[in-house]
Parts: sequence; C-alpha cells; structure tokens
Amino acid sequence: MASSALLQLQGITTYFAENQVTANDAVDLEIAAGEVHALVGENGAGKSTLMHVLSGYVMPSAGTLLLHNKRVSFRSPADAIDHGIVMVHQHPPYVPGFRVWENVLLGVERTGRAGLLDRESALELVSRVAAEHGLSVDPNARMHRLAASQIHFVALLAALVRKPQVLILDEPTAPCTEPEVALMFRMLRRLIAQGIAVILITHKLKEVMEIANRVTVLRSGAVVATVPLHKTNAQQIAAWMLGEDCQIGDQDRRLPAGLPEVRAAQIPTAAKESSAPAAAPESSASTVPSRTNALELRNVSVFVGDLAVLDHINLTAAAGAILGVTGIRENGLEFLEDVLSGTIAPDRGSILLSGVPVKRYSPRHFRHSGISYIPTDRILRGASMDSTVAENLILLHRKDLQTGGILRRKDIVQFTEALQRRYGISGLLHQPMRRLSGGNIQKVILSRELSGQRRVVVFSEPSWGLDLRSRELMYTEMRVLRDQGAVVVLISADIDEVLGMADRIAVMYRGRIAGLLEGSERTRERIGEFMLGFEERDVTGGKDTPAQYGALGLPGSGGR
Amino acid sequence: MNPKPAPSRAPARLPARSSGAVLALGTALLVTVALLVLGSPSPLRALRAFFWGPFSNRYYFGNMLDTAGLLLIAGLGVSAAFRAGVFNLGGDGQIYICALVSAIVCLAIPGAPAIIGILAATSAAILTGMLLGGLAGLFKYLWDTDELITSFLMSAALVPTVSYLISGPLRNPQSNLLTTVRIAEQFRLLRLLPPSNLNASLFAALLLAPIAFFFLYYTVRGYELRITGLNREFARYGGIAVGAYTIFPMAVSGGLHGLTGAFAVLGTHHAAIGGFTIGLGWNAIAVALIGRNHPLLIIPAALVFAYLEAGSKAAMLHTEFSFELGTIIQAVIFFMITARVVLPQIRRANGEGSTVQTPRTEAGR
Repeated sequence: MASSALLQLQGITTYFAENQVTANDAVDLEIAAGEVHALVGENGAGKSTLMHVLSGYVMPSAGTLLLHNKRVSFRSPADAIDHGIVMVHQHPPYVPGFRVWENVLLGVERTGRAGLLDRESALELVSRVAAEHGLSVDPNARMHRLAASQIHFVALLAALVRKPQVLILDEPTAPCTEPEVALMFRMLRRLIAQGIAVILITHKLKEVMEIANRVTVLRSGAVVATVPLHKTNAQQIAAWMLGEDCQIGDQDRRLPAGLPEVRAAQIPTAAKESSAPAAAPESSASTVPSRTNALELRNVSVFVGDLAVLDHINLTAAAGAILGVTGIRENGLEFLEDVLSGTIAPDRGSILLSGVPVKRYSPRHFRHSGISYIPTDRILRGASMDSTVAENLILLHRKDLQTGGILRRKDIVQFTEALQRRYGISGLLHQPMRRLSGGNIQKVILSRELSGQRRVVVFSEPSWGLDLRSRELMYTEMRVLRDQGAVVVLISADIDEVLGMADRIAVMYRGRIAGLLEGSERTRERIGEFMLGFEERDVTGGKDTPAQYGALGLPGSGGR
Repeated sequence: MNPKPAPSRAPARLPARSSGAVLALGTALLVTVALLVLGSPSPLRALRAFFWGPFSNRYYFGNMLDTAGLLLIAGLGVSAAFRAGVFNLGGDGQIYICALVSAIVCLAIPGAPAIIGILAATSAAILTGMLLGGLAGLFKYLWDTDELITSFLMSAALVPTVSYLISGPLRNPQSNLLTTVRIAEQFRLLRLLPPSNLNASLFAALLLAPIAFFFLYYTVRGYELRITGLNREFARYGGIAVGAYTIFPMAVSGGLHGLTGAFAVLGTHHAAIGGFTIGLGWNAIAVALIGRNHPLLIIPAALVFAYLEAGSKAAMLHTEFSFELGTIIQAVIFFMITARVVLPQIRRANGEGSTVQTPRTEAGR
C-alpha cells in the first residue's frame, strides 16, 4: 500500500528481555515530509526508545520501518544516518577538548590529499551550514567552554551537516532560554519549508502548541492518539498523556470489603507494647501529637552547580492534612525528598519543624525530631540488603530494645514478629533482606517507618511494587496518621495516588512549586497543566523573582 | 531467657560463605605440597616435616599456638575496622611500634611490681595503637582522606623509625642481635609449654574473640557498627552517627594491634628485636579474610594459618628446601581471597556492560 508519508512505522514493538520491559507496544506512526511532528508522553512512555529504533540505536523486536514506501532496517546509527535519519540526543555526547568544527564533522571528516584533514574546507563548510540556518557559532571554540544550550546547537549543526530527511530532536529546548527557543523554532520552520520532517520529543505542551503540525501521544509504550494540532488543545493532550480513563487506580484507593480495618495505634510501639499488648486504640488519644505539628519550608533553594534544582520553595505541611507533592520526575521531587528528610541541607532558606527552625541538617537530627521517611530508593537507602529482615526492622527502635547497651533478644523477636504479621511480610526474619521480593522489601520499610508514634511521615513513591492489600493498609494508615494529627507528606509522580490521598496538592515544575491545589481544584486536568509547565501560579509569595532555571546563555555569547 | 536461638541474630549464612575460605586454604596447601615435592631432593621427608613438624615436639607446637594467639588478636583488630566498612592497612607497623612502646615502658620501670608493669606496658601499647588507627579514622571523618592510604603510610613511616631505634639508641650493646635489653623477669607472662614461647597471652586472645562476638551481635553499638559497615547510606538514613563509626572502629583496630605488639614483647620475645613482628600484621589480614571477619571464625582461621606457617618453617629447617614457603602460602591465600572478593564484582560489572543495546532512556532513572 502506497502512502504519501515519508516514513512509516508499522507495529513497532521493543521488548527488553533483561528487565522485561515492553518499551514500545505495536506502535504505528506516519511521519510526513515538511511537518513538525511532536511526540509527547510521560517518563517511561516509550518516546526515547521509539526514536532510538528509528535512528538505529535499538533493533525492534517486531514491526516494520518504511522509508519512501520501501522497507528498511538499520543496523547502526551510521546506517540510519545514511538513510537520512539523524537524531539529536537529549544530552548530546561530544569530545570535550575538541573544537566546534571538529565535533560537527566527527565521522564525516573532510579529507584532502593523502588522507589529511582539510581544515580550511571543514571550517568553511561548518560556517556555511551554520549561516544557512541562522546560527552564529564560532567554529573554533572549544567544546568544554560552551554552555549546555550551545552544545545542543552544535549537536543540531552536526545533524544538519549530515543532510537529514528526518531530524529527530529529543528535548532540544531543555537547557535553552526563551530567546534561544525562539531561535531554534525559526530554524525548524525553515527546515520544514525545505521538506524535511522533524520529530520533536518534548515535555512542554506550550512548545507543542507553538511549533507542531501534528502530535502523537504515547502512554505505556502504545500510541494513544495522533492528531493534527488544529483539531485538539493542550488540555486534551494532557488528558491523553496522563490517562483520563485510569479507573483501576481510583478503585485501588477504596478499601476492599472484608479487609479488617487497621489503625496506626495498633502498630506495636516497641518494648512497651510487649508488656501491655491490649492497649486499646482509642486510648492512644493522649499520646497523639499536637495539632501544632508542622513541617515548613521557607524559601528553600538547592543548587547543583549553578542550576537551582529547588528554587525558592515555600511549602507548609500542616498537621491533620496530607500534603501531596507531584510532578514529572526530574522536576525537583527527588531533591524535595532529600531536603524534607534531612539528607541534604538547603543551600538557601530554612526548614521549620513545629515552628522551630532546624539547626542541623542530618537524617539523625531529623529522626530525633520524630520524622519517619519512606525513601524512593529502597535498596540503597531504605534497606541494608546484607542484613537480616529483623535487623532492618529494628533500625528505629534499637534504643528501645536494649538495656544497658545490650539488645533484648526476646523483645526483638516479639517486636519483629508483630511487624511481620501486620504487613504480611513473607520470608523469615533471620533471612538476609536480599532474599525478599521488591514488594516485601517495601513492606519491611513501611512497617518499620510506621511503627510507634510518628510526628512527621514523608512518603516518597511508597506504592511502587506493593500489592493491593498492603497498599490499602498503607493508605489507611496514612489517613489514621493524619487524623491523629501527624504531618503527612506524600511525594509521588503518580497523579492518581496523589489525587486519591492528598488534601492539598503541590505541583512541581522545574524546581519550583508551579501550583498549590486545594479542594475542588484538585483535578487531573489542573494538575496536568501545572506539571507540564503550561501554567504557573506564583506561590513563592516573596517579591524576589526566582532565578531562571537553566538560564545558560545564548549561542555565541562567549560561553560561561 | 529464650530457649530457641533468637532468629534475628543468628549468623545464618556462614556455611555457604566459608566454602571460599576452604578453597583458598586448599589451594595454598596444594601449591605448598607441589613445591615441596618438585623442589625438594627428598620430597617425602619434606612433606613429613611440613605436615607433622608442628606436632613433633612441644617447642614447635607451643610456638605454633603462640603465633596463632597473636594472629587471633591482630585478626580481630583487622575485622573491627572491616566490619564497620573501614580498612586499617597499617596493622603491621602498629604492632611493631606498639611492641617497642611496651618494651620501653618495661625498661623504664624495671623495679615495678609485675601487675603494674604489665598493665602499664599493655595500656601504653594499646593507647599508641588507638592513636595511630584513630588518627586515620579522624582524617577520614574530617577531610575524607582514604583511611586505607593514611593508615598504611603512617605505618610505612614508622617501621624504619622503630628499626632505627632498636638498632641504634635503644640497642642492647651486650647482644649480638639487633635488640633492646630484655625486660625484667616479673613482667614476663607465664610460659605454658616450655621451652616454647607459648604463654598466658593465649588465654587473653581466646577471651577476646567471644567478647568481640558478643559486642557485634548482642549490643546496640555492635548492631550500629555492622549496619554502618554493610550500608553506610542506610545507617545515615536511620539516624546512626556514621561519623563515630569511622573513627571508633579504626581506633579499636589500632588498639588490638597494639595489644598484639605488647604480647609479642611481654609473652613471646621478652624484648623488642629488630623486625621481629614484621609480617604479622599482613598475615592477620589474611586470617581475618579467611575467617570472613567473624570473631569466632577467626579462631580456627588463626590456628590453620599458624599451622601452615609452622609447617613450612619445619620443612625448611629439616630439609634442604630453601623456598620462602611461608611467603608463598601467604601470597596464594591472598590471591585466592582477593579473587573471591573481586571476581563477583567484575562479573557484575560485565553483566551491566552487556546491556549496551539498552539506551539510557528516561525510564532508566
């Protein structure tokens, strides 16, 4: 069947056997000459893998590629480039010591007589192609002196020198400032006018709306929709990306009938529990933490190099409410997790615990203040894989389970067996942690962190790998903790989880709190708009303008 | 208290892991036998001397046990640091200088009562060792210097200094050996199997192992130390003062090496002799590795190592065999043990390398 499309993908499936991930699931896609085709989707939706298939980095497990209606298959990136398909990577690789022209022509060097590099004609070529596309780059500049955005432009230049028919750009504007984005888009418009097809991977719907002719939305490896841009809008695209029909997640949230209701007060509180196991849940009201509990971030900024990965965060997690924090990964969630748990100290700003500024930023100090923390990284941070399950369970209660420095083994057995029963941890307590499945490891972490009275609990991606029953148990305990007056923070990139649990939702975008949603505002659509950077509400409250995230200078501005 | 052993504490995975130590020792034995058979003009006599030599008379047997005792204390010292995830590579020099320190203390108070002199000499040696080990730990804590390097370099500087002191200012002019004056009679520890060097310090060594075991597995500090050694990030996350478990285990390690040095003087040699403890620290590392840094397993590890060393000495004395057998055994054991430690890591690294086809996608994060 003949098609007007320049490039066709039919039933492309990519399966990675080593981690059993189907990154692309029977993807059909047509790319026409002279269009900017935007490819959007959440992290892990399969965008990058699909483009790696197109550009010869990955062999698909199944499916066909048609170029000009002729079947092709690429054995290497060089093979794909020979067919006119060139990809510019999200983090373009380059040779640091080389000059711009050397990097641009790496692999397609101009050689004169006797195979020597023809420096003159190389310089001429690079300057000419740059000028043709309206780029001002000094071809003699050293790569390592360039800013991140300039490196991106050099990579773009290198792609253009290879005369592509299909140009694939993976997050090309990520390090760029507004004027740089404008420059790049002018260039892209000129390219499509020449009949080149551009595939643009991006998280920024604003840019999709501005430059794309058509958009394809990927979710969980499959195509959700391919539509011309004039037939859709940003809200629609966001809904497709995030999955508006995700009813499974909502049902998960409800407590299945017949499941015994559990209360946090029933969790054994170390040694005391063993002597008075019949302590009624109701009577725990006296030990309930006060309602004045609060965890407050004031103007907190964290820098990696010059980049503000947390940018003037003002956020208060109050007692009696679950604060949800969501966003697309790499927008600051992981740094917020580290700051809230005392793992890293803020470079600027301060943290207040129940109104008192924290003096020492260390997990030890935070633990002493009654903070429990379920980390995203369970293997490295949340568990000691070579220690036994019991040793992992007693971490927080080691001081309660000793007399004169000597561990009370009998109490340890009771304590750990009680925790094991509560969460249904399968496996033996004296087994090394390494033997447990991922879900069971998380159960160990949860039961440890939620045991005893907790003033503040920070959950970060707590439900990954948990089965339904444990997840429900965790959600129930989260609510009980809230009702008892504990401060509960739920950091999760899973919108459904945050929507289902949180009373207030903070949405992070590029290191900032883009929006804080309460009450009826907590909808998937609103969250989507904020997390994709489509809208930003100033919630910093301060007069000082937040520093530009990734303001790295203009191309040709002489580097940093 | 609890009739069945509490499951939480049991070192459950010992049998499976110790097979590697058996492999290392077995290989060392095989290499030794091969060398004796191939390199000796009278292989049978050499083999007999090697295997039966250590048991042939009280002198050899006692000396073997004495070496085992010293190896045991130093081996516990090595594992004290290792279990906390830090490394004391300066043990050899620490033993040497602490031996000299205890000899100096004894020589300074020749008229003191036995108990005073012995206590003073051992505590001075222990404190010196703690200072040396602890300094390496402190440097790591303060400036993140590699304790492996600093402890080794401090030792490397001390060894020739001690040798100089023994052969120069502190030398006994009446002796043909490079040695200090012998310590006063009352400070010498009780001999158990004369004429061998075996002495009462063996009891101290045998007492220390269960104490270390109890500390590691039955106390909060021991728990914190082991957790820190197994996963520092997890320990920090759990509020354990990981800084303390950088300095403290290094100091304890140094202190135990110091005690080894003191016993070498008070019990074994009754004087500080030029180079007399050199090699003991390195052998202790091999012993700790064979014993998988488990205080109770270090006891048989020390015995087996001492036996191999005594056997090779006997084989050299009784035959024309001239190889440095002890060194060869030590080399083979080190080779096998480190290969066992390093190989799985290499395999793991290769396993990751084989996924070249997997691109670094966002999903990978």
